[in-house]
Amino acid sequence: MMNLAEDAAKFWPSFQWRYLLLLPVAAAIVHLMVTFMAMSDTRGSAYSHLASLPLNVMKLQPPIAPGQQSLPFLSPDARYAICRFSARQGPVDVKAMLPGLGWTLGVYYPDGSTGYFAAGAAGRATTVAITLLPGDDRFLGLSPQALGKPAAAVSQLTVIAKEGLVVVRAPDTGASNRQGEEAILAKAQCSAQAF
Amino acid sequence: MASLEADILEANGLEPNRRDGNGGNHEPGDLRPSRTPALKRAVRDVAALLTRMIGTALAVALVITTGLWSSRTMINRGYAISTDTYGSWRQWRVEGRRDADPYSRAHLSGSGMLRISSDSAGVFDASVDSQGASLHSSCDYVIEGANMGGLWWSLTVFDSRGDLIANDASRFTFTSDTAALNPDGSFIITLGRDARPGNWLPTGGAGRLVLNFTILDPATGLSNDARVERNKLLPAIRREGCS
Repeated sequence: MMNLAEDAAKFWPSFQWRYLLLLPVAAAIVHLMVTFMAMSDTRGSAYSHLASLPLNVMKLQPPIAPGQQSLPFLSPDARYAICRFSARQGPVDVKAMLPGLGWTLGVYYPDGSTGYFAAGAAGRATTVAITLLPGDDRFLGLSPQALGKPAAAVSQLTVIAKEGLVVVRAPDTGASNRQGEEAILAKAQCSAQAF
Repeated sequence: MASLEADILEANGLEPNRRDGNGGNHEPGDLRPSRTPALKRAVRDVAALLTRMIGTALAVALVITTGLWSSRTMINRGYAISTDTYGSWRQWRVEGRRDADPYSRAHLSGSGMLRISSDSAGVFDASVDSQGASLHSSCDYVIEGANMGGLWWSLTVFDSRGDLIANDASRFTFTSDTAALNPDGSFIITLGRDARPGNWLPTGGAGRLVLNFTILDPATGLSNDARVERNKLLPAIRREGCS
């Protein structure tokens, strides 16, 4: 026992206690590294969950019910049409009508953040037309006007997004309206531009 | 003779009284335990090395555990730095925005949720009642909300994993369009296992519950002041009783 105590006494005086101050600093560095890694890890995102959806096609999703939830905490307060898009090969056109209050259209990046969002207004139908562009310096073809075609009747917005989700949401306003809402939702479009 | 004696003593783990610094000879019979035999020195060195290694390993483990735990907690639960709390309701302040803080972005990215950005809607979650007790399917609750001023809203109940709770009535949510509102625009929604008249959401045997309350901003947007006023109108969750 005495020897052990002597050994400890010989060892610990050489310990630099100021190194203890490094522990919280090192823990903070680990904290930041883990947080930034989690931020850029999109494997668990909604975009990854919906990877089975066809590319650049608007798909009307079945009514959300137990066992048929494609995403956690996705509320059945609405019907959804979702397009998984990629603008890497060229621009993607999106068009949808938002006929009233509660209707929304959102463009989401793979990490779940929103690139564009539009909400319908009460008693007024709004048509939203968007062109999704990859955001680099590639030549993406001439505009319709330059090709001698008439300009789109609905003003076209441009959103920079290489890939992600377009979600059109029709609020549940009761059983009597569901068929009509579904018909409007089914008309939402998402398509890659042809050169 | 002296050399022989020293050899015998060393072989028995004892140290002969060697010449001191002044060149004096040892006195026969002065036997003291050896303090620095090679074996003991080696054991001590190994012990010191092990202690250093274990100490370093513990320090590294402590650093990694603390860093991981604090990061995961901030991402999963959120704290004042990234969330706002209004009674039972909690909102990730800048969720879904491109300029969101790293915790909010990691929360959204890892959760698999598709949430409307906080600058387009108020999205609130509640896992406790107004008294701070966890929401549970063994209890009945009354949710009382004020007139939301013409804004579209929805209230949905999930289990703790974010799954809908299966029930015969196929009721999972009420919206400002589907709930029976009071004449003044306020509403009462009940939560419980047994059927009730009015706006009843079944909770079955789901265990812990999470409520989601979403209020869409109008198409023209909402100012920060208007958002503050809106958030004052969030419904209260009152527990009626448990069985």
